[in-house]
Amino acid sequence: MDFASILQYLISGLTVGATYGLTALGFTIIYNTTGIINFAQGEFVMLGGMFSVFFLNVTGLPLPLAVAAAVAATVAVGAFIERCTIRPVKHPTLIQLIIVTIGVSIVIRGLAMLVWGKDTFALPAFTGETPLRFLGATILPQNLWILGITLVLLAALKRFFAGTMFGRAMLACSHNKKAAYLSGIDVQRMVLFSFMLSAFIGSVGGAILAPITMASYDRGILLGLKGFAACILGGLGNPFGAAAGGLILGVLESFGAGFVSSAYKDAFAFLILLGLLFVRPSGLFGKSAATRA
Amino acid sequence: MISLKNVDVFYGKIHALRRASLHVRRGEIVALIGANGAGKTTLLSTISGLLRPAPGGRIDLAPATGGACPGLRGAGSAAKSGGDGGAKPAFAAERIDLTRRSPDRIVRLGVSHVPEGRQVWGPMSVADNILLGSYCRTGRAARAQAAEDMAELYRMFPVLEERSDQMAGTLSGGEQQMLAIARALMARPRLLLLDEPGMGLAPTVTREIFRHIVDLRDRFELTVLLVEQNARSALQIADRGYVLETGRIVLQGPAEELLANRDVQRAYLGRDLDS
Ligand SMILES: Nc1ncnc2c1ncn2[C@@H]1O[C@H](COP(=O)(O)OP(=O)(O)OP(=O)(O)O)[C@@H](O)[C@H]1O
Ligand SMILES: [Mg+2]
Repeated sequence: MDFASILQYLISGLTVGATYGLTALGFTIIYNTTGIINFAQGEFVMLGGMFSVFFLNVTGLPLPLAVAAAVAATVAVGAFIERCTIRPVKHPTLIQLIIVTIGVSIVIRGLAMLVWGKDTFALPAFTGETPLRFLGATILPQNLWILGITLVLLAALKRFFAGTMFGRAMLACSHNKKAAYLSGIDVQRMVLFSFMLSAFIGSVGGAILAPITMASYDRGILLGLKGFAACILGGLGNPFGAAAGGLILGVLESFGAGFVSSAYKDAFAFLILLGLLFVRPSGLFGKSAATRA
Repeated sequence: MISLKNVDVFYGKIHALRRASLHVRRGEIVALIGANGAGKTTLLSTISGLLRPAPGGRIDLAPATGGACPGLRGAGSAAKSGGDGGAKPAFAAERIDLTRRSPDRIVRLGVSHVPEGRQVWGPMSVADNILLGSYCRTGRAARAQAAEDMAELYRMFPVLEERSDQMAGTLSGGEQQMLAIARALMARPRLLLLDEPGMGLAPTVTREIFRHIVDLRDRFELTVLLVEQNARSALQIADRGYVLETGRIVLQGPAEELLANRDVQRAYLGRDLDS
C-alpha cells in the first residue's frame, strides 16, 4: 500500500466523515436542548440532497439558489416536526418522543418515495469536476467544498453557543430546564429552534454530499445511523466530540474499505462503535456518566 | 404586590395546596414556614408558573408602578413601612392574573423565583449564569442597564467576581446560593421568591445570606417571599409570616407574634440549632 493511496483513503474518509459529523452535530443539538434522540435526523440529510435536486431540475433555480431553497425547505420541515408531532404530546416521556421521531422518519421517507420515486439523482458538483492532484492523490473540488463548509459551520456554531445570549440560553435549557424557565427563557421556543438548527445543519450536509454520493429517498437511514454512531463515539451531548467522531468514523471506514473489503464498509462503523462502547461507554470525548448525573 | 386567593394545587390525586390565601405588600419580607412536605415549594412554583393551580383560585400581581423599571437604589426603607393594608385596593383595578401565564412571561412581569436547591447551570461559567439571568431584558438600553446591574452585583458578591470564569458547579453551596440569587436579580424583579436559601448551609453562611437578603431588599426595592424551614432566622428578618401545614395555611401574623407564639415555638423553633 503506497502513500498516495493512503492519502486518497484519508481524503475520501474525511469527506464522508464530515457529513457524518454534521449529522452527529444535528443529533447533539436536539439532544442537548431536549434530551431527545431525533431519529429523523438522517431524513434531514436526505431532504437536503433531494430538495436541492428538485429545486434545480424541476423549478430550474440556479445551483446556489437551489441549495439555499433546499436548506430553507428542510428547516421548515424541522419546524413542522416540532410544532406538529413533538409539542402536542401531552406529558410526554423521553421514550415516547424518541418513538415519535422514528415514526416521523418513516413518514418522511415514505412521502419522499411517493413524490420522487425510488431513483437516485445526481446533483452537479458546485465548481466543476476537474480533479486536483495532491501528492499523488486526487482531490475533487467538491471534497474541498465539503471540508470547508463543515469547518465554517463548526466555527459558526461555536461562536453561536459561546458568544450569543440565544446560544447560551439553548445550552442552559440542556443543563437545567427548570432554571431556564425561571430565568425567563422560553423553553418551547428553544426546542423549536433546536429542531430548525438541526434541520439546517443536516440539510447543508445532505446538499454538499449529494454531488459525490448521489441523492435518493432512502439515503437517510444509513446516514442517520452513522451520524448517531459518530455521536456516541464522540460522547453524546458534546458537539465537538460529535464532529470529531464523524471524521474519525469516516476515515476508519474508508481505510477499512480500502485495506479489507469495501463490501464490509458499513459494518466497520458499527464494529468500531461496539468495540468502543465496551472500553469507554461514555465515548472518546464524553465525561464519565457519574459526572453528568 | 401579590395576593393569592383560594389557590388549590394537585399533583394527580395528591392535594398539595388547599385553598391557600396569602398576600405580600410592596417592600415587605414575608416568611412562609412549614415542615417537610407542607407545600411551600408547591406554593412558590405555582406563583412562578411552573405549576398550574386548579380552576377557581386567583393569583394577582400588582402592575409595575409608573411604567419604568424599578431603580437600583432608592426608597427601600421607606417602602418597608408603607403600604399597610392600602396596597390591595390600590391595584385592584388593573391587577395582573398570573394563573394562566407561562413561567417566562411571569419573569418578564417582574417575579423571579430562586428555586430550591439553587439549580445553577453547573457546566456553565459563573459569569454566563449571571448574564443569562438577564435573558428577558432585550433592547440596547436594557442591555446596558443589565451590564450595570452585573457590576453592582459583583460589588455585592465579590466572591462571584473572583470566580466568574469558573464553572458554576464547582462553587461551594453558599456561593451557589449567592449565584442563584444574583442570577434571579439580573431579571430586575419586583418580587423575589426564595425557596430555602439556607438549605444545607452552615449557620454562619445562612446568616450571611439572610443579611444579603435584607440588604438587597433595600437596594433593589424588592418585595420578598421567603420560604424556610429554619423558622427562627427567617422570622427574624421578616415583617410578617405564614405557617403552612399539609397544604393549608394555619397561622399568620407579624413576625414577632409568630416568634412568640407557643405553637410555632414548639413546632418550628425548638429544633433550630443556631440560636
Ligand atoms: N412532582 C410531584 N408529584 C407528586 N407529589 C408531589 C410532587 N412534588 C411535591 N409533591 C407532594 O406535594 C406535597 C408538598 O410538597 P412540597 O415540595 O411543596 O413541600 P415543601 O413544603 O416544599 O417541602 P420541603 O421542605 O421538603 O421542601 C408533598 O406531600 C409532596 O410529596
Ligand atoms: Mg420545598
